[in-house]
Amino acid sequence: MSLLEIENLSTEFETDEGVVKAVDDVDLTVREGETVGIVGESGSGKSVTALSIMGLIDSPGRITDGRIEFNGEDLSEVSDERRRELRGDEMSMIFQDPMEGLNPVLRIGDQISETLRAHDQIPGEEIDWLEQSLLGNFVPRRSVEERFPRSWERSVELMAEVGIPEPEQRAKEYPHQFSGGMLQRAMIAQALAGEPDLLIADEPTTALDVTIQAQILNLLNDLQEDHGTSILLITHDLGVVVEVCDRVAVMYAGEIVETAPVEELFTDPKHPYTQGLLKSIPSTKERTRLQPLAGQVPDLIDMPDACYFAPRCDHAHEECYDGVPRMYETGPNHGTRCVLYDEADPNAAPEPGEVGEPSRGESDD
Amino acid sequence: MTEPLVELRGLEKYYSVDSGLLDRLLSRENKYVKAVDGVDLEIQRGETLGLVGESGCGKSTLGHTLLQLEEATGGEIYYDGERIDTADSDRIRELRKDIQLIFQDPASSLNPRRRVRDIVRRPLEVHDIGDSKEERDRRVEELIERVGLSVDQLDRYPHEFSGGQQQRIGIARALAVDPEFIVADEPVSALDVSVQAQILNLLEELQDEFDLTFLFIAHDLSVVRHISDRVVVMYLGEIMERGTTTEIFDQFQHPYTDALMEAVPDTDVHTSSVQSVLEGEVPSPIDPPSGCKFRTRCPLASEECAEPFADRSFSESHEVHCVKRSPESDAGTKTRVDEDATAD
Repeated sequence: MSLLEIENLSTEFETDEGVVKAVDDVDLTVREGETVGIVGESGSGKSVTALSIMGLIDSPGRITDGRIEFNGEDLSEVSDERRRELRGDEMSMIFQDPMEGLNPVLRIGDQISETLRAHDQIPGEEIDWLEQSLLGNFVPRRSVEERFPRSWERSVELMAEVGIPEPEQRAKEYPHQFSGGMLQRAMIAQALAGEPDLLIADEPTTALDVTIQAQILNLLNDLQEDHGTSILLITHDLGVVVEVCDRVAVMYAGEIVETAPVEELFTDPKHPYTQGLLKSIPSTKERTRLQPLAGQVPDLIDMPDACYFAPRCDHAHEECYDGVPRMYETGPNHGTRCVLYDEADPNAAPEPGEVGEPSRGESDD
Repeated sequence: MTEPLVELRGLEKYYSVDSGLLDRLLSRENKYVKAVDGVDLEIQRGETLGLVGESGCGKSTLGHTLLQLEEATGGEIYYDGERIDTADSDRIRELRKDIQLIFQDPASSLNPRRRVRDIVRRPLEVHDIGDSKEERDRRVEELIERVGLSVDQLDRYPHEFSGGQQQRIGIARALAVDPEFIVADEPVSALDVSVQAQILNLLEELQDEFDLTFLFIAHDLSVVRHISDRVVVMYLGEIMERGTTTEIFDQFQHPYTDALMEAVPDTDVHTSSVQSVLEGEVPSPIDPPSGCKFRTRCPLASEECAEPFADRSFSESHEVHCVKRSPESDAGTKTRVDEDATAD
C-alpha cells in the first residue's frame, strides 16, 4: 500500500527576477517499508520537494498545484494543529548538517526528551500549557532527568539504539562535544522519537567522511528492517542511492525525468540526462575518460515550453522543443520523461550508452 | 630515479593546544595536535600525486605547510633541490611564481568586488610579469579562453558565474604566473558531478599542455583514482600506504586502505551492498595511539602493533606502514582483510 502519494506537485518561489518553478509537476509514490531515493544536482528541486511534503515551505515560496496524500489524508487541507501532530509523529526529517539541526545550548538528552514529550510519547510527562505559552521560555530547563525521568530514560534508549556508545553519559553532553557522525546519529534518534512512518533524509551523509557515511547508511538500513519505516532519501550521490534505495527518481530542473527500480536505473538508464550523469562519475574500479554533460543546469526562471534538458541533449530534435514531454512508460515501474520513447516518434529509442561525446562544446556557459 | 621536484623529509606540523595560566603555573605538560607527524614524501616532475584521507588526517595541513602558508615545526622541505622551509620571505615570494594553489571553495577564494579581468591579472602585476598593461591583458585573455570561458565574460564579477565557472577562474589565476607545481586542495569537492567531470578533464589537459606537476588533495577516492599517477593514503598525520595508482587501488595492502575502499559507495549494482564497515571514529590527534595509529580501529590489530615500526616495501614504489603485512608472505596477491582475518 502506498504511504505517501504525490500528484502534480508544483512549488514556486517569487523573486524579483521572476517566478522560480523549483518543483514542477512532480509525481512520486512511497510505499510502506520502502526506501525511495531522489537524486539530482544542486538546484534540481529535490530538497524543495521534501520541504513541500513536510509543509515547511515559507513565503516567498508556495505550493501552487498538486496533491500530497499521506496515509490517505490530503495534506493540503489539514489544519496547522494536525500538521504539527503529523510532523514528528508520522513523518520526520533529518538534515545534511546535524550541527545546525540541534540546539547548541541544550544537552543532547534534553533535546530528545523534549521531542518525546512534545509528541506525547510518555504519558504523564507531556508538555503542559505553561511550557507551551510564552512563559515557557522562563521555565528552567535544568535537571530534565529528574523532572521527566521516563522521557530521559527513553532518550537514552533511543541513543543506544542508533549506536551511540555510553548513552547515559553522552546524553548529558552538548552538541559541540559530539563528532559529526555521532551528531547525525543523535539527529536520527530524535527523528525516531515519535516513531514515524516516514523518515525524510535530506543529504544525511554528505557532510561525513566515507567510513562514517558507511556506518550511517548501515544504521538506516537496520532501522528500516527493525521498524518498517519508509525512507525518502535525498542525495546527489548516486553511489549512496545504490547502497540503500529500492526505487529512484532522478530530478532535473524541478522535474522528475526518470523513475525506476534501482538496479534498472543503473543497468538500463533511459533518459539521456541519467545516461550522461552516470558517465560523468569517476569509478574506483577502473580509470576511464570522463564524458561530462556539456553546459549547466538552466536558470529556473521563465522556463520554455519544451524539454528542459533539450539544450544539453545530444538527441535533441524538433519535437523536443514542442511542449514539455510527458512521462512515458519504458518498462514496469519505469517511467521516462523523454519524447524518444514516444512510440509514434520516428526518432525511436536510443540504446543506452549511445550518448557519445558531447557535441555542443565543453565550455559551461 | 631522477631528482624529485618536491621532497619532504620528516615533515612535522604541530599546533599547540593553548594551555591556560593554571596549567603553566602547575607546569603541566604542553599538549600538541600532531596534524602532520613525520612525513617523508617525494613528488616527481610531471606527475600527479594524489593525497587521500578522511577529514582531520592532515592532508590540507601538509599542502599548506609545503606552500609555506604554515610554518613547519620540524623536518625539511626541498623544492627543486633547494631547501625552502628556512628561506626568507623574499625568496618565498619569488617561489610563488613556481608554486601555485587551487582552492576548494571557488566562491570564497575570489574577491567579490573585483572583475574577473583584475582577479586573473593580479598575480601578473604582483610578480611583475609582462612589460605593459596591454601585454598583461592579452595574457589574461589567452588564459581565460584556455580554461573554457569567453573574453566577453572578463568584465563580470565572480557572483555572476556558476561554481564550475568560478573554479575555472581560480585555475586561470593559478596558471597566470606559469607555475611548475600546483597544489590542488579538494578542487572539485564543492561541485556537482557533471561539472566535476568537466573540471577534472580540464586539469588533465592543462597538465599535458603546460608540463605541470600536481599535488592533488582529495577525500574522494574515485576522483583520486581518475587523476593520479601515484597515491598516498594518510591517517592521523602519518602516511599509511603509498604506491602507484594501480598498486593502491588494485593491490592495496594496508587494512586502512582496504576499509576506505570498502566504504566508498559504488554505482555498480552487482557488487554493491553495505559490507563490513569500519567501527568507531578517528582518535584525537592530541593523544594518538602509540605504534600504528590505526590500530584502535584495525581488524587485524594485535600487541605488536603498539610498538613503533618501519614501513615495508612491496615494490620500488609501493610502501606500506603495517606490521601485519610483509612482501614475503603475500607478494603480488591482493589479500582482503575480511578474507584472512575472519574465517567465515
